[in-house]
Amino acid sequence: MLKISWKLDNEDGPDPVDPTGELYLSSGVSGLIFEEYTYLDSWFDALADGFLAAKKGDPGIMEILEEPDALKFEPLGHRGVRIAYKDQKLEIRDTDRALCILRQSVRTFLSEFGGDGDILKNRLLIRLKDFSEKEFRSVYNAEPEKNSDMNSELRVA
Amino acid sequence: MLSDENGKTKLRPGKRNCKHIAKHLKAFQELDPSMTLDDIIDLGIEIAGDIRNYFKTKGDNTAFRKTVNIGGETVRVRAVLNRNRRLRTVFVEKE
Repeated sequence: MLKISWKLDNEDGPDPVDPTGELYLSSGVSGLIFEEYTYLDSWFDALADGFLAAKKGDPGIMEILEEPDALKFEPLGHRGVRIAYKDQKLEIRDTDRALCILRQSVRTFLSEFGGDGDILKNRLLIRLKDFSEKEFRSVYNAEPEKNSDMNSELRVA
Repeated sequence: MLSDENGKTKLRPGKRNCKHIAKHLKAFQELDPSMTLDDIIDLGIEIAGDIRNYFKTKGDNTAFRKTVNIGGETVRVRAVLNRNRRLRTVFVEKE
């Protein structure tokens, strides 16, 4: 199962324009992907595009505009996907489940900011909000709940 | 190219941006060990300050890139501005 952990650089409060921090991706199958001092909005955007392509069975090379290396998605057998970044690799058995986990993680990430007013300051955050809510509505037919785990330093979904 | 110092000052990165840019310094220093964080920020501002270097836009972030010579090697450098036109990153692109 995909595990997404991230830590927002909150030294001067959350910044919706430049949400920097670090990100870890791991799975119960194998592998770990980690990046530090990066732009989490661009990472979540690339992950969303990559998993959506993988769900359709398509491979994808997802550029992260601020990084020299791309995220590479390669569909694996029945519903699985392999993700590669630099020399790091990760295998996921269930792309649909991974998409649900990613959407939950995006919702938690967006809850760090000061509501829709802040999110409107960054078009990637607007796109991520749309991504996170679409599936939530279709699966649960309800609005997402507010994140209740606001105090932990390292967010895990 | 931006013609005045005030224009260039507007592109200067904030503290968070600098932390990120510092991560990419090593790749520049592999080409020229004398390069500093200020040097690569100045390079990024120069590249992003010239509309002829425009490459693409994603969200509110605008990327520019230019082929430059660093330490005798020809490389392509990318610079990205955020919505407030501050330098978000600068790095050496991979082939």
